[in-house]
Amino acid sequence: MYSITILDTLGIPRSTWVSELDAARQAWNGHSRFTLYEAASNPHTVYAGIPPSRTALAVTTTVCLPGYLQDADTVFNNTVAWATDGRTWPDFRRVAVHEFGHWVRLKDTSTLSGNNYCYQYTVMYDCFPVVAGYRTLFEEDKQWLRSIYGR
Amino acid sequence: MARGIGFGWLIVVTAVSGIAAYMLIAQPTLIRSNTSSMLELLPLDKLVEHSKIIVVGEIVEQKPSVKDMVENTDVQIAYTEYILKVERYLLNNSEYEEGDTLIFKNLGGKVGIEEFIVEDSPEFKVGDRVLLLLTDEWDDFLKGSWNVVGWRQGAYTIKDGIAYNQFYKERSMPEDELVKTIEEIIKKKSK
Repeated sequence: MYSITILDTLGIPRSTWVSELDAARQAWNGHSRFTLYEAASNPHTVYAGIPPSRTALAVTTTVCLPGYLQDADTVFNNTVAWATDGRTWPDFRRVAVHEFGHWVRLKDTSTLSGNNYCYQYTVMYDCFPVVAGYRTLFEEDKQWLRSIYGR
Repeated sequence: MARGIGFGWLIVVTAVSGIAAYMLIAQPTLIRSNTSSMLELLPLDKLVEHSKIIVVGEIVEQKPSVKDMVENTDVQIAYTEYILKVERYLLNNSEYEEGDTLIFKNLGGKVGIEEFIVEDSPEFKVGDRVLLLLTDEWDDFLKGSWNVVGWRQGAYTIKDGIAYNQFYKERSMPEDELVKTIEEIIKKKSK
């Protein structure tokens, strides 16, 4: 579950970021027993601001206690010129899908052993610029998700 | 009545002993905070361009980690200070006075029962021989202190003559070759 605080400073119309975030959330549903919901009020938030590093498009912080996720928050960099047409980078939805991947406990591909280029065709590939338009999960992402939550 | 009081005492003594035993045996629960982001992928010449100091040396000390809030966010993060025994400066494009040691900061660390993992931050341990591309500007949180350019992209761990890039294995190469490449980039830029 997540709640949105305010993303108006991203320079994207409100109705657009609401629907884009919703689509990013839905991308993670239906592939495993896990479902990501939106709720009016809960401690997990998505907001706009300046992340710890200005060069980061967005930063997700998760706090885990053994066995469960206690908190998850994502800050989208509001100094970035975001795009939502699905063709231009940085694509807000593409980045949101990646960040929600951290909410479901998936890691950036660069932290995995092996060749990082191999993971280019996953939403958890953590370098940019990437090809915009990759807004849905790849088979490898789905497999990682199922390995945590089951089919 | 006496039997009732005795039974009550038994419950109290059992409960107190149980709590005491739990406190003695139980390990504190580790709270793990994970920070992840998308990185801008930079070629080596861009990383060199962003660097103020490029140095080869050995990590000789790791200081205790410190945690702090990131300004204007809900994000709490830790950093760790490392002392590098310098073998060689490849670049010093700053007012920094070269010495035998250099202190740099790196995001992430463990403070008490809290572990702050910053996925894109390089990893170091005492005894590591490294080649580092450093600046005092890259990371807002560490601004004013030496920190690695491009997070993991700017850190190489050297082992058996090979410099392994912490981000891309494909960027790993023999140490001599990496040093030569960097020196050529510096030379080109200074022209």
